[in-house]
Formats: sequence, structure tokens, C-alpha cells
Amino acid sequence: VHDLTRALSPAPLKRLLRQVGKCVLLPAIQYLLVVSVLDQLPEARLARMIFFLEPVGPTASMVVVVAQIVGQQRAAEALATAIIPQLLLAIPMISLFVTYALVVTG
Amino acid sequence: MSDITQALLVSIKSVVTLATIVLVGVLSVKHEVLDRQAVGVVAKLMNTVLLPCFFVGKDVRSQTFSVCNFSLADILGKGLSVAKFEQLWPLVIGGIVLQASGVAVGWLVSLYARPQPFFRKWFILAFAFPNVVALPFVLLESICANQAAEMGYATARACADEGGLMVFMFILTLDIGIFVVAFEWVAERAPSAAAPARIAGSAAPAPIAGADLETSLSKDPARPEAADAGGALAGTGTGAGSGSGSASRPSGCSQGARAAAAMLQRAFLKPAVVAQFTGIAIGLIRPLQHSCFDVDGLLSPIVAAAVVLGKATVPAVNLVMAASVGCKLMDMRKREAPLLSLLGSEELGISRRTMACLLVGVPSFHMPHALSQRARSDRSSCMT
Repeated sequence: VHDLTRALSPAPLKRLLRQVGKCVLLPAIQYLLVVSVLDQLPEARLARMIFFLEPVGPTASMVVVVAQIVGQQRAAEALATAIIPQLLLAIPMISLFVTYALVVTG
Repeated sequence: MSDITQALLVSIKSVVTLATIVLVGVLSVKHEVLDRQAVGVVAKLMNTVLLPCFFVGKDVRSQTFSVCNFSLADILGKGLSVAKFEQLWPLVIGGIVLQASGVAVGWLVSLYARPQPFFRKWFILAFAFPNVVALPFVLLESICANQAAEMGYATARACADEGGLMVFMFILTLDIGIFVVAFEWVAERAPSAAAPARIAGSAAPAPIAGADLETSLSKDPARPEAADAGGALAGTGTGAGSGSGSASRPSGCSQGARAAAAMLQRAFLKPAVVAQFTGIAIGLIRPLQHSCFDVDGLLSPIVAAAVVLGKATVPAVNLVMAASVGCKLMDMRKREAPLLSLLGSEELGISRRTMACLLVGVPSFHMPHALSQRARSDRSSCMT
């Protein structure tokens, strides 16, 4: 009972929320938004899948290009390097999110 | 094949492809084929030539659907109708919500992550703009190849074509978001970057971003990046206020109106944005579309040139990204930084805390260690 109380207390919850981020937290929030309005979306299953497919990717390479265009090379290089671990993390996350989307829209 | 296996395979293939491109970029930098200056030139070329062509041009002879050989005009012209728009308009709203929620979550996480000032805006933009074209298309094609019937289409081709239209409906506002809103947001730092130079120099009249940067910072050899910024901004239309500093100051409403006009000019008269609207116009106005894309159309030779140049857009974007990684890696190698410093270090310019928040949301990579310590102490308390 003590463990259960501790598990449900705000501190572990806060810690849990901190452990999910760009590749997890953001798509999850966006998935929740989509699921909450699923009935209002176009009836075509493919259209509904688009709502789920778009948020799962890592940061767009175009942001690096914009950084280069405005001359902020330091930011561009840091951002480009940060995309690499995102890509690695994307492999399992995309699999999970897309599978979930196929189930929800099915 | 199960859904999860299929999605896993598609993800791995996409990531391996991108990783290979990054490797080519890194090797290009290592063997001095590319350097920082060249990367900047490719980025500017992409912004002013390739991307506009990508938005306008299409390959009329191509029968295959892929990211590289279609355009907004093509997709809209082929598939969009009033009835279709009435059916799919929520996709446009979805694109706007995607950006807004990305900015909101990015800003919130940035409070935890505490990125360095130079990286703060980019941290938020990294959340706001996911890969919305290449990766979703690959996933979409895979889903259509395996589940066209379940999606309600006779063939995988029909499924993928319809999906292409839907994706472009979804991302219709994203280009505006990145090339108008985000561009202006990150470029607005330029005057403050120029401020020290002005203070150190003389009491020059208050400038407008691009013009002042170009004149004041390009003279400072110690700040090549800032000088580069001035040139880039001027080249992309952000230097709309050139010469305003020496002109006599208008007062009141006229000054406000001029400032507003200059801002709108800066925001919307970028080649990519103009091309985006041109592409939409070509796609929706049938006579113009025929003139551009029919084999005997009046404008078809010009559009054919746009097709050829536009095909280089996606490779150029990937090359800029890959070479940027290469430049950073070469820098870190010169400083003899360990490989693990790629996960956040002074050499990288991003702290571990910031990198961790960007990836998974944990403010420090030490968190799992702390948790494991706690688990150990929990176990020991159980044993006692």
C-alpha cells in the first residue's frame, strides 16, 4: 500500500513526465489531441492516419537550413548534431506510434 | 507481416538512408570537399533558387510518385477540388495545431532544459517543426502498399496519390510557419547582435536589420558569422529597409505604416514564400496550369527548367544538414573531444541537460543513474 501511495504521489508523476520529451512527450500530446477529436475528423481512414503520421518525425532538416540561411552557423551545427540521436530514438518510437495509429483508426 | 514489424522496418530503412547521407556529408567535410563557406552557399542557393523551383515545378512525364518529382502545383492541380477541400479542410487546421502545440511544448520544456541563449529559439523550433514530408511519405507508401484495401482504395498507387494530397493539405501552412514566422523570429536577433558594433563605433542612426548588419558587421573580420547573417538577410529580402538610416525620419503614422510595410515585405517577399503562393495559384487556376504543364503549353519550357532545378531541393537540404554535422564533428575532433560529448558538451555548444530535454525530456543524463541508485537503496531496504 505504501508503494502504491508513493507511486501515485505527485513526485514520481512529475519525474515520469520529465522522462518523456521531444520524441515521446510531444507526439503523445499531439496523439491525445487527435484521439480526443477523432469523431470530428474526416471519415476516411487514410486522412485520419495523416493526423497520426505527421507528428512522429524527428526535427526537420529544413530548420538547419534556415539556421544556415540566417547565418547562425553555430546553431545550425548544434541542431544538426542533435538530430542524429533523435533519428536513433525515432526507430522504436515511430514503430510504436504508427502501430497505435493503425489500431485506433481501424 | 504485423503492423509493428512493418512500421519498425520502415523506420529503420528511413533512418539508415538518412544516416548514410549524414556519413557522406561528414566525409565530404573531412576530405575538404565541403567547408562552412560552401555549406552556407548551398543553403542560400537552396533558399533562393532550388526551393522556389521545387514549389512551382513538376515532372509531367513521371508516372511514379515520390518526394522528389511532384510539387504543390502538381498535387493541387491533380487532386484538389472544392468538394475535396470541404471534405479535407480539417487537415489544414491539423497542421496549424501541430505547429502551435510544438511551440507550446517546446517552450515549456525549454524552461527545464535551460538551453544557451544562442540555441533557445532553435530549441523551440526543433519541437515545432518535425519532419513532415519525407518520413510521413515513406510511412504512407508502406502503409498503402500493405493495406490499400483496408484504407478503402483499389490500388496502392491510388492510396498513395490520395495520401499525397492529404499530406500537402496538412502541411499547407507549415512552409508559411517556417519561412515567414520562424524566419522573422530568428532573424530579429540581428539588430541586437549589431548593437555592440554600433556602440563601439559611432552614434549611427537606428538601422533596420539587414542593411545595418551588412554595413557594420561585414567590416568586422572577427565576426564572420554575423557578417554572413547580414548578407543572408539582405539576400533573402530582409534588408528591405536599406538606406532608411540616412533618410530623414518621417513621423507618426507614416513611420508606423512604413515599418509595417517593411515587415510584411520582409516576411512575405521571400523567394520560397512567393513560389509557394505561385504554386497554389498554378494548381488552382486551370488555364494557367495547362499553360505551365501541358507539353505544348506556352510556359512549359520555363516550368521544365524549374522541374530540373527543383529536383535538387531534397538532396540539398540533406546535404546542408549532413555537412553541418560534419563541420561540427571536425571541430570536436580538433579539440580532441570524446565521442560521448556528442550527447551534450561545451564543445558541442549544447549542454547535456538541454540535449536530454530535447530528446527525451529528462533534464540530465544523470537521472537514470540517480533512479538506479534509488532502486538499489529500495532493494537494500527491502532486504533489511
